[in-house]
Amino acid sequence: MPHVTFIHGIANKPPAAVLLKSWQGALADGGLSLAASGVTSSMVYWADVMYPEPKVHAGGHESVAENTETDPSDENLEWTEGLSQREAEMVESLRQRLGVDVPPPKGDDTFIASPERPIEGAQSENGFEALPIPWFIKRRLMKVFLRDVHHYLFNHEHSPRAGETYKVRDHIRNLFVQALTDDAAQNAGGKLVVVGHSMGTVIGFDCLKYVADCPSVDALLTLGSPLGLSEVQDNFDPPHRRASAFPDNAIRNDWSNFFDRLDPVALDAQLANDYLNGGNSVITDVRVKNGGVWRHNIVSYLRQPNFAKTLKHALEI
Amino acid sequence: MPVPDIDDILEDLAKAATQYDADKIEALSRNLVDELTTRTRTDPEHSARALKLLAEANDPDRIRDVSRDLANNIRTDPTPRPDSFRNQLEQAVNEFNGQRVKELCERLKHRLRAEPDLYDEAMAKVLLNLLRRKRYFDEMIAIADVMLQVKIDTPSIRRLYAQALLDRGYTAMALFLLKDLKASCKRSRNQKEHDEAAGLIGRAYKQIYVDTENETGVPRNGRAKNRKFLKETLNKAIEAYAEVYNGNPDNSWHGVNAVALLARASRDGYRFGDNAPLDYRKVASSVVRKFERKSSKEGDWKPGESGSNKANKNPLNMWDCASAAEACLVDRRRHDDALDWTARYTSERYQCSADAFEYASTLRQFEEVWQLDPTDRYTGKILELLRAALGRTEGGQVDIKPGNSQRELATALVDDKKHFEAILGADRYKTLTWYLKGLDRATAVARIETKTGTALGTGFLLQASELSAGLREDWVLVTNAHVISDEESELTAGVGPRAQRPEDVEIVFHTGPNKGTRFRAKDILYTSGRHDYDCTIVTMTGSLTLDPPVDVSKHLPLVSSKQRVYVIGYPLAGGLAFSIDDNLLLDHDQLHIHYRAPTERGSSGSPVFNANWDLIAVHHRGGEEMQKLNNLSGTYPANEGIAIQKILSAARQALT
Repeated sequence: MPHVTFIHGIANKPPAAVLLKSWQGALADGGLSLAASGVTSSMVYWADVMYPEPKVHAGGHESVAENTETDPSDENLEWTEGLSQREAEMVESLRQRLGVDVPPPKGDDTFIASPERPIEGAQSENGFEALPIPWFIKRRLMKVFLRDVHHYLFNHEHSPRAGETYKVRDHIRNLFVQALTDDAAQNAGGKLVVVGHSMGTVIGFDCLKYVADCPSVDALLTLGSPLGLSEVQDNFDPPHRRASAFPDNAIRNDWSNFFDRLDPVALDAQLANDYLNGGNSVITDVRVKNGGVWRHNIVSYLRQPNFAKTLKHALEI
Repeated sequence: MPVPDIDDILEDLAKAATQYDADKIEALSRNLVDELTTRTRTDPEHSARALKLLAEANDPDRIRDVSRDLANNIRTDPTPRPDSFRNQLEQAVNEFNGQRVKELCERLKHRLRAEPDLYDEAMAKVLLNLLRRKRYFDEMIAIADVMLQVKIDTPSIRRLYAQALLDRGYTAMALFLLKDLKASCKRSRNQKEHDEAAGLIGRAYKQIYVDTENETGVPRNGRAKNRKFLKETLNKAIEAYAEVYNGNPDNSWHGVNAVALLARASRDGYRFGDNAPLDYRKVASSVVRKFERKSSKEGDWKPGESGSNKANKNPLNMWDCASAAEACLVDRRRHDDALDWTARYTSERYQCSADAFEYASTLRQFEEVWQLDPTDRYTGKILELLRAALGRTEGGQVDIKPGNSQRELATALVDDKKHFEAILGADRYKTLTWYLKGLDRATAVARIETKTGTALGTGFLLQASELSAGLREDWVLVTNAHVISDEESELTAGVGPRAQRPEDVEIVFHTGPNKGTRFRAKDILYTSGRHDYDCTIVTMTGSLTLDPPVDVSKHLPLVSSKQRVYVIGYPLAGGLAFSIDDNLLLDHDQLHIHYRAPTERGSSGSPVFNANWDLIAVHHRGGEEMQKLNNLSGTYPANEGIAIQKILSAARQALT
């Protein structure tokens, strides 16, 4: 039977089962209940590699902050000390682009931007200053993103709990490959599609492209992906080759990429020209308009009718 | 002949098992089954030992047979143990299996007379409350009457008996019982039952007032000949409630009832002045403040908020919510709060959600005593919420009248999302888009009738291209073969409904672009008898249109994830109806699909949809004892549809 393997993005998450259910529910809101259509689904859960324990509330779907709950520990940038030159360059470049260090107006950390309160002299590329959520929350989110990208790409050693240390990329690669192997074994030849969000798209691509024993899939769907960032592309291992970056051995059919122009994580959002297959552009970039203040929100992406239609097509249901 | 000892049989069975003596095992296990099931008290320990021995004898066939016999006998056991009987009754009640409830109650009456000591007061109350929850009042009266006859005669049993009499309209008899009960509880200082009886006395007089007033009317000029009688009745009701509330203001329910009646008295032109037993506006405010404080103290939900209190250790209960809603009705400026409290009371997301009995009581109170305006923006929604909750808890069929008004209702409801969620009572909220898609699907569903308008069943439109690209028609109608057929076996069926020939039926749509025309069935493209796929696909006369067309799902839903199915049809020769509650998918074997979903005669041929409103099956029958699928033993109450993909595959082949 057809199967969807989801992989989540940055920041801490509720327990895996709760997270999966919330994604399934968001899709159903958009008109596609996977279970109703006979499609099984699973979640590659890696938040516990980065955080000591799951988030208590599912958050997001009911809260006004729309899944922008953060933790004070997300402010911590101590890990940026003692980096190699290459790492430090990547971090510095991304830090600038994301606006991590942009001070809030008049030092008010709770300042919320709005059209009525424009901020002059924007310093970030991702529209950080204009994001209409409290300043400290968006700063934390960008810091979290910065950390997750760095730790994965540079296979950083991280200890989420006492007595447990992981080489982040190695461990998460294992999680993804194992999950996909199990899913492929159980779906009896039905269509297998990977849906990734945010940092999950980096992980999914990395495994499909660079891990030899990663099973192949019928399609890859990416949502709010930072794969367009040069800071990400330049730090894959082996190095990114634009003309042949598409994982043609691992993706049998299509890769569709959904982005919202105001998604601060999906900088350089369009991927078609960065991941060519034999020099040809094969990725379909789909621009969507998510509602709400946090355009990176997975719930908004999953509810997009365009997305449901694409997923149905990929699953052949 | 001496009664064989079960332990002796088990010992012989053990010996036979070690010797692998199949004949002896069979004979002894038969004896064992007979003994276990004819005993007054079936000891599960004996059953367990028997099955263990058979397992050791490695006789899976005998194990299966014995297990099935035991299960069947226990189910039909004329001498059910109290615990197992309660479980059976609870199951029957929760499955809305009225026939089974009646059967069990007949057995219970027999058992009560045969063994009066078998049931104690605690179990008797449990059984009566089970019946009361889903409003099986006739059965409740019959059982309580026998209980009292055999001397399970306690204040609580009398009170429950009286309550059932009241709900059945035997108000005078209930009053006699209750007054006697109240007096005896006062003598024996049983305050709890005394207050309960007093409350029911209030309710009895309230009902007399409402019924009399409804029948005879109350002219405002006070010239009605029964005005004095009405005033006295109303006064008795108020005093009964007020006595309990004034004795202990924690009895909010009684206070609110007194409030409701005093407010009603004021509207009807009765003045009690200084003789009023309480200040109803003051009491109403006090009740609302009490529950608002309770909710805010616990960090709980407050009117105007969404969210669930399932984590709360001391949540508001259903009567708190109902009382708060009612108390807010006193002041028109608080009708929006009344709506919020009602939404909480009727939403399954909150721990204070109730059952059919409670919703019926509240609805009756709001309609008959408060006389809420169904067209008012707040009170109209309050009534809708209660009706929907009652429909859901009584067994889930929501009738939707055809026409555009339903789109307006749906839109209006969903603009107010938290209440919309409460109305459909789904596991998860449904979006407006989902609801409107269901209404779109309804435009494809037709009633199949004789030429004189007698309903035969249901059918629905599919794009002809689903069968074959070569068909001239754009649309075909799908229904059951036992509704339309040209096969003699279907036309002259000895058992079950007889089909009609295509030329003898007409097809009408109650909503959508094809409404208003009586279409005729033309040619049968495909038919498969009732014991096979039970499906007929016909072309039709006339110009049909449908946008959007019905989408056909490629796969059946996953059984493991508590999926629901949705059926649209014309049950009981009535109007178009959606089955959207109590509609779990039970099982499927890729051909047959079993589901709950309330359906009735007339639903034959209805489309069955998955949660995406994609077509998965054609409904064709239902029953209380449907054989389970996938080699599972036993039966269950279920409806059955035939998978549409199987039908289409067969039809395509037949057309090539």
